[in-house]
Amino acid sequence: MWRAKKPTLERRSTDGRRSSVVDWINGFADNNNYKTDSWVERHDEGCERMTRNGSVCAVEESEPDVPTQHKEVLLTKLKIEIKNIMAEHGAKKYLNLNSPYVTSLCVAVDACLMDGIRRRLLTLFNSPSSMSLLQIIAKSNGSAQQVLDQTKTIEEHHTSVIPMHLIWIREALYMKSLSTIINHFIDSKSVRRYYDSNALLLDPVKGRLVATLLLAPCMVTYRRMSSRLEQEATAEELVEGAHRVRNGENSGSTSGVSSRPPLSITRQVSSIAASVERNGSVSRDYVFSLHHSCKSTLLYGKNNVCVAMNGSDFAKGYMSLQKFYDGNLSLKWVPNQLMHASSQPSSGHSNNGEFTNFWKNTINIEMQDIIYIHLHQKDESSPTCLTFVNCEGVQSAPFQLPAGQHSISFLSSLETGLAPLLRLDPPLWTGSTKEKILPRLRKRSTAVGNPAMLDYVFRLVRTTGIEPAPEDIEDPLAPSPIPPMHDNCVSLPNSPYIVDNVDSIVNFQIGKACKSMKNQIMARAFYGWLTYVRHLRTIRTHLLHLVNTKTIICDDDCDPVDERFWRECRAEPTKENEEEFLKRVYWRGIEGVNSKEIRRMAWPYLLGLFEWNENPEGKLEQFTKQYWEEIEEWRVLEAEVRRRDEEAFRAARARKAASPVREESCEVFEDPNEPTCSQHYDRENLISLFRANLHRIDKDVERCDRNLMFFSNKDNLESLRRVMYTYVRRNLEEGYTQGMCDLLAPLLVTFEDEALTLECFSILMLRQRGKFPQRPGMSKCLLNLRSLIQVVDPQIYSLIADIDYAQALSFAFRWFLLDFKRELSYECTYKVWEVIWAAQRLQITNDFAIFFGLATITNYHDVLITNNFDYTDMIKFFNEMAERHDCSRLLSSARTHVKCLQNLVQHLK
Amino acid sequence: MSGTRKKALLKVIILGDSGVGKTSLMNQYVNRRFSNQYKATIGADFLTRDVNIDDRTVTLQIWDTAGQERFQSLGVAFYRGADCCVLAFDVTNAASFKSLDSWRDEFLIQASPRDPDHFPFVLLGNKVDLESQRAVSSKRAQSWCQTKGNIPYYEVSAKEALNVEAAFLAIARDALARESQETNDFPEFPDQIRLNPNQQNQQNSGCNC
Repeated sequence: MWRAKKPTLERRSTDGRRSSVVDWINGFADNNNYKTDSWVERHDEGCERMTRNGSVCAVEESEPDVPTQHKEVLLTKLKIEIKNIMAEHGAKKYLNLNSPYVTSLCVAVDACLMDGIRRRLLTLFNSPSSMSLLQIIAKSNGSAQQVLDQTKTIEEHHTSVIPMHLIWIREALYMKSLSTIINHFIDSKSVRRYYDSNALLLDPVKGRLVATLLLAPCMVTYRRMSSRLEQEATAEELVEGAHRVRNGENSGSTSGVSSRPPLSITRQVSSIAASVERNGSVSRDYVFSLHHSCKSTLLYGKNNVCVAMNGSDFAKGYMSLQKFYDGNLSLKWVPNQLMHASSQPSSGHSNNGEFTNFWKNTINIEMQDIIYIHLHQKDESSPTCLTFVNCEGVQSAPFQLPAGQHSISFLSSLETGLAPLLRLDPPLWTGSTKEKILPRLRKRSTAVGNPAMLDYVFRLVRTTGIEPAPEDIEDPLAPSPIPPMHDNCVSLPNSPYIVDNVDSIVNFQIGKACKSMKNQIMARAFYGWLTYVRHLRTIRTHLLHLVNTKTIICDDDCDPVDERFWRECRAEPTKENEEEFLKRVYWRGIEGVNSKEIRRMAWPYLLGLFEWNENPEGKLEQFTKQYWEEIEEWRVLEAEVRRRDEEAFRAARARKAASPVREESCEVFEDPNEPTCSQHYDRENLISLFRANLHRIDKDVERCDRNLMFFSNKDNLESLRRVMYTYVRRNLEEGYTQGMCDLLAPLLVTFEDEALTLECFSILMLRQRGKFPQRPGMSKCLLNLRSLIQVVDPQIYSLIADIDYAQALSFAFRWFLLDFKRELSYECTYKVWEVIWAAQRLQITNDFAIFFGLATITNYHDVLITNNFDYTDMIKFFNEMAERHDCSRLLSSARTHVKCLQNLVQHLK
Repeated sequence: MSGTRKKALLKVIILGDSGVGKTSLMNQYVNRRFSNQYKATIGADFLTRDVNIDDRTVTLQIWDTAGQERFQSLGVAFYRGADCCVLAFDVTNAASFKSLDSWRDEFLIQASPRDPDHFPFVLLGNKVDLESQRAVSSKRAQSWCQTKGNIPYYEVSAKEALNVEAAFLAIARDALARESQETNDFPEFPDQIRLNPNQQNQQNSGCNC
């Protein structure tokens, strides 16, 4: 079995046809059971080795020796890896060069190459690896040289997961020359001398097999996925991909679709067909298209059906009855020669003429043209003859089916296929055991001298919708038989197409179709309505409070707030001006020649620190005075904290030096501070609380946006620290929570005034505090976001619907905690914050951030849906997308969402 | 064949006080780079890296969570399904060492693995490059590990990429060994509570260091 199969396999692979690789590797792997046969035929080689190794000669015939077994193991591993590669490729249409599959294959290839190598000789090179072999043949071989060059450039900036000595294998795969190179190894004398004689590569069969096996992975499309190590596409790539799909650029050569190898095609057809040459494959495709196609179903098929070809000459062929999706039936017959031609390699072009001759003989009969079918049979044991007569009276060549039940089963298939529009007249009878039998007719044997002959004539008639008239069975309608070669049917009955009641049938069928369409439309409408009602319920129960319908402003033609407008506002701080200011901020934001300066002046008003008609100078002075006083107050505490830190550190060092394990273990959990009186206790409490917070603040201040110019200045970091300390001193019970620094930093950058920053931050924290841990605000935000997604984008909702909302939307936690500060650049953060504050002041919504979050999600609808993200994918995606969002687009989309919900809510009310 | 070749995904959680270098460790291991510009982690993030262990390719999915104890409740959602828990502390910060117990307990309570005594933990003492500021000796860390069922301990430096590879490789091995035992760490329904006097004794006798 093994020997019989091998030549074809090798030939196939040298043809470079990757189509059936998976199949035949499967075959290979299975054939490993036949190990014992495989060396019988290379007996001579075995002998040569036996004489060298001497002792193993007896073992050779019966059981594989150790090196042979080892070779088998190596080959099997290689096959498995190749199979994995091909399977992965089939699933993904391309392979990431950094993927573990490729690495594993490289390992397997390396193992094969290193089998039986004389390491001592290789040590001449600085690193004894398979790479050295490449260097040897590189001088004489172009493709090897290319791979070597490529490998060297890769090695220079080596960041990949793959070990150094395997890079060349990977690169050779990438350049699709690995198989060729290994063939060169085998051929090259200079390489051969590095191997022991029993090396896998020098094995006359298995050595070539390695190279041949590798042909398949050499055909695969590899992609170098960015220098970063992730095997998944980065967020940016995903977004880009989604854009490409949306813009319809996908038809280009870069897309995965076109680069897909025809792996799946051969799997559909039988394995015989996989190996034919180009010429054969064309005709084979045609033959198959005759018999099987996606547009039709096969009702009946029979091989070796005889048809008279030229006069008396009978040819055998394959007959099939197919029903097309449009209801048409057709009968096809293909001579055996054509069928077989596809599975036998043609010996040349000489018999092409013969084939064309056969092509002419193929028969294709459309059953809708047929009105009569004649059936002749001499007696029960002789073959049946079938003749088809079309409505023009032309007869087909008689088909000769073998004796037995074949004709009955053909007719019953035909009857089934004809239903419901047409039927056989007379219909087939159902026998006692439910099988079909020929109707028992009154025989009219016109053929003289052959009384035993069985003759039937079936008519194809339209179903009238009524049961067939029973008298038809009794009356044979036409004289029979009709001699096959004589066209004497002069008075043919009317074609079934012009039967009187055709109209009624058509009407009946159309009526049925209309009814079903009506039902479908109703169902759709109903489900549409149901979803709508459900959404309205969601809105009513969860989202009603989210927006305010009283102040719907649709005027987005206004200008942004600029210097001129701001001066106007300050000159005349009227109510109208304030309204106008907020409106402009909401719709257009603050934009000016020096927007930072406007923000510095406008934000305290926007946040509500100052009344609109208030002059800030007086208050500012008061803030500053108070701020510095407070600093004086906590300076004392801070000094105490630092002293204790110093002590603790020294104690730890001392303990570390002495390092008696027992003593220290007790102190880990106990605080040695023992109160002496209640006042002292309070002070202790205060200091330890302040101390814990100071440590937390210190850690976060040190790493707060150090990439920003502003905070690369140590003085500014100190400012940040002072403001944070003062805030925490004021709110010691609340304490410091991570994230506060992130909220404080943009304010400090804008104001560059510690006292003012502190006041504004305090107001901002009033808003944000609710969302911080151990408060219900965050859950509320996430639940609202979930409901909004449900209403606005049910497709995305389906991705997250099944998981707990807190987990599913955990990627949005940071969004709402910091009002998108981490997701956007500073400039964009300013813009979004302004709109959030203005929306609140305008009483449009208190939670504009949720709508902005919604916009962020729906903006990446395509990415999320096409990649079928789960919540971990979303976490990763949105983390990677941080500071890459198109902020103005998201803002306008968020405003649209607000408007939509306002309209809906108003409608509900 | 394909069953054994299925690419294993190992979920690893890094826990520890804020500022001990969890993000840095993760990034050093996965991206092989260190930056002093990492911000405090808010929410959760993870990175993945493929490693080859004994002919098997496994994907390590390393989860990095916020370090402040107030955010612990948020991280809990990610604890479930973990194959290994990496506890990290800062060798220059004794307080971060002291909180290890609470991190470990919190993890065991929240993730509730079936066999908490044998759930794989690994302890990493980070920032060993700052030897002059060291406040926790390696002996002390090791003795703590001993009392917790011989947790492996590694002294690492994310900044200088010291020992990080080795530590995470050991983590992957541990988790993989655990996985191959085919124990279901996280049953659909928690086990019934067994009142075993021996077990209780064991816990009491355990030193609280």
